Amino acid sequence: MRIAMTLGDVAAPDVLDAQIAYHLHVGVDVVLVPASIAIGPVREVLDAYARQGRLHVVDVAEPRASARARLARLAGADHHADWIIDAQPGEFWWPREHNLHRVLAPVPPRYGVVQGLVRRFVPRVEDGGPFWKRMTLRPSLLPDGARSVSATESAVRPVYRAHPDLDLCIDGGGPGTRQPLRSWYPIEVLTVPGSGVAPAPDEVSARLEAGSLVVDDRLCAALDALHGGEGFAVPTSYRDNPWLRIPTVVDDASYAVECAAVGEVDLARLDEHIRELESRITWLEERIGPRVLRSVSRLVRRASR
Amino acid sequence: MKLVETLIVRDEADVVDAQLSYHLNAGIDFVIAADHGSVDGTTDILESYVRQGCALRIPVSGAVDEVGWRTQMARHAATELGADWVIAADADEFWVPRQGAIKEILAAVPGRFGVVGGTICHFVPRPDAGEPFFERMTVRLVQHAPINDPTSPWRPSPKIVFRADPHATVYHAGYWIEAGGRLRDLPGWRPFDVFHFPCRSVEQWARKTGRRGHAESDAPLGQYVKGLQAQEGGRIEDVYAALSVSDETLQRGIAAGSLVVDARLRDALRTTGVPSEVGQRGGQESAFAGDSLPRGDEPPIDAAALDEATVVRLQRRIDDAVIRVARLERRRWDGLTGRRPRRGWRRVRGRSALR
Repeated sequence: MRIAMTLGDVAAPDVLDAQIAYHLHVGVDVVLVPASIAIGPVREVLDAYARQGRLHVVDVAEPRASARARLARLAGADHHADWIIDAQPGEFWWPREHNLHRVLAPVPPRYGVVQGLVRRFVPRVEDGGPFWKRMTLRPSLLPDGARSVSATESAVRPVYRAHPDLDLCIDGGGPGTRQPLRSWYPIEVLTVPGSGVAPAPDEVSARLEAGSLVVDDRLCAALDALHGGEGFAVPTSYRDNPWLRIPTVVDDASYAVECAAVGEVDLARLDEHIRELESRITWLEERIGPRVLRSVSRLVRRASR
Repeated sequence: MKLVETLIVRDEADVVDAQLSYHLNAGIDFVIAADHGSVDGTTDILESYVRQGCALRIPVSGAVDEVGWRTQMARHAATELGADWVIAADADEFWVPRQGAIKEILAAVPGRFGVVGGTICHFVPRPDAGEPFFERMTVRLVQHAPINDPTSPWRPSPKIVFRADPHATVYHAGYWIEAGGRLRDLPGWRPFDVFHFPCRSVEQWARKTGRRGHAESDAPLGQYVKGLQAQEGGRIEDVYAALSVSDETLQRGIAAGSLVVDARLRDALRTTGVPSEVGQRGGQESAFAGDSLPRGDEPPIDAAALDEATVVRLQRRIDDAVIRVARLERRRWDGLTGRRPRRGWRRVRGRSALR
């Protein structure tokens, strides 16, 4: 199995460097980026990985939004990827296992999209040290009754099974072509903020005490281990990482509460999806429209002969 | 009232004796077991119950035909044994009434209802020092929200007991039943805890996932595929260790409310012994009549998680139906426009061997 990561846009060079190195260590086999972003200091970062054959800079003519979809399709067609992560700047996809392969390999084939649960770190005041040293606080997803969880769209991010018609939407190829695995997120997407105002120390203390903010130093520990004070090395292949571990049943039970807090599936959405399905079945059952279309298409075909 | 349990078993010698002993002492009158080519002593255990007159062993072979075998046994219970109720169980499941005895509960079900639900309660593996599983596995998972991971053995699942019907069809693992609309679900009441012991030792888990992770059926469950992949990668002990609960994890789980110590089955089996001479009583009375079986005294949190999991399952089935409808729409549209249906894209490299 092969996993590709596409980067349609990039963060600051130091974040980008960490992002690529991290993902190559946790199971990404190849990284694709559009040539349009490979300029200046970013280019230098990309070149280091390109020289090792782990990253490809691709010329794509399409505008930015469709360029990402094109990259994703290329990852499947040219680089034989089975799964594609279309990463955003500052995202670190954290498998709830020793690496991404262990998470994605046993996913039943009926699912064409697996989703990651987004964890956004809060901005901190820059202190001159590496950015990851400051990425240790994030909002809790555990419902406390006093606030609502962020909308589903921003709470989860998809990873796609490769497909020649892949489009970058939740069902990965037009309505009803790829089935998403809902309500369980085997990957966490630890997200470093691009910008933002750091909360004041008093506010941080108060939120930590209230439980709306939690300490999460996993990314910090992982990047510390990978960097080792000497810079990120380019691995020849992924491996089991000691800072990634298989969750216990207690971890899973606690994580399930956070997944439920996302609220991706509920009776109201179920009802909405059933209504949509019913209307599409009605269209299939209709006789008049298709008959007219059939007659017209027959005439067109005859005329074109 | 006559209550019959049906089972599909294959190489479950470590659990099947306790399973039959418990249920025959808890009010089950007769057990029908489809024995799928067992070679580990399971067959001898089943035959010992057959000799006591309280079981029928049906040897089966070839590819697993769960619906066919379960349906055949359920119909046999209705037509040949005169059963009133049937429990379609697995060898690693124990039906424990939350209050009273199994037959007392079923006797109280209004006649217009034909299906009563149970809530599955997963018991987690504990350090193995060679004792029987029921002596050491006394820790139960409590799910405040459902673990909807398709590769986890801890997903909440529905279980049912139903009135015997000669035309009933029993679906996957006894999760649901179809009987031409004659058997109505009794909603909102799950008076049974179904104790579930899916992982009991690393050897047993390796054997089970090795067998069921392969294409024994068309779509092997993710938990078995994961176990099989772990075996092939030489990691089955790591995976089993992650499923197991150490003393430290137990303390953490108890503090978080996600693990509880529940010794009801252990205490019940200590009362009756394993194996027990169930034939002496002819299975007519429950050894746990009235409230003598230890009761679960915590609120039914698992039942709420099961309800949530059921909604998620329904959503996933709808997603599946949407794919099928989309396929039909494309076919129809292609037919109308004269376009050839697109051929499925075939990946030539990197395909998972475990699909």
